[in-house]
Amino acid sequence: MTDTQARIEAGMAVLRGRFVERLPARLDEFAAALAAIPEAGGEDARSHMARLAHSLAGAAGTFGFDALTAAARRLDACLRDPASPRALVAAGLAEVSSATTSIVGDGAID
Amino acid sequence: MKALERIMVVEDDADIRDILELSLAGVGGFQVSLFGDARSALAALPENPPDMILLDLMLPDLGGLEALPLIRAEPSGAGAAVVLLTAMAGVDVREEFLARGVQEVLFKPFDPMTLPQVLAGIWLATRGDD
Repeated sequence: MTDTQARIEAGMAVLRGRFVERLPARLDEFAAALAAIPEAGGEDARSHMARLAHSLAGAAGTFGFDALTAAARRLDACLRDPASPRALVAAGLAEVSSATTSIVGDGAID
Repeated sequence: MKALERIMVVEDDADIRDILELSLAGVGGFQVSLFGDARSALAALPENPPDMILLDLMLPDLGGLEALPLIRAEPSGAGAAVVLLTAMAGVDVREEFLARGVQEVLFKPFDPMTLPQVLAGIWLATRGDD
């Protein structure tokens, strides 16, 4: 491994750790976003939560957290379907929360 | 042909911005400017004309496709190569976005070690006739 590769990999490990540290704050944002979604309608609130899910999917995938990426993508798709009941959105968020807990709780920070 | 040197990144997610900076500056050696929203990036264009703009599709307030014509309307952005970055998966959106005037579409997640090479390849492909 060259010095540059070693430096970049060290930088990646730091960023990955920072991403994991920020996950609980992301979950708080999701919880607030879900609370703003009414039983029916709430297009803007759904759109906001979809953007959170979309963003999380992109970041988690780049850091190699595939299960979290998949859960965030499912939540994103659910939110973009106007026919999805709020309960399904809540279930999708529970999946994201579970995937997050397994990352934060299993010592995933290198 | 001018070499790719200056890349403007417009990405609202702080974690992805961080990794893009590490990738493009640390691995690629490019001059990188980072913005969390399109309006700030647009305001910076005159003083910070980039060769390439890496533009997130989903941004708060002003999305990537909404920002594109405003970028093109700026003299300092008119000639920049614009690469759209999106986490959309399983959707055949590339052709649609290319038709809207972006030079290429890249999908998240991306490999930070190879992204600079990918962007250099896009630059060569789009500037080959210069």
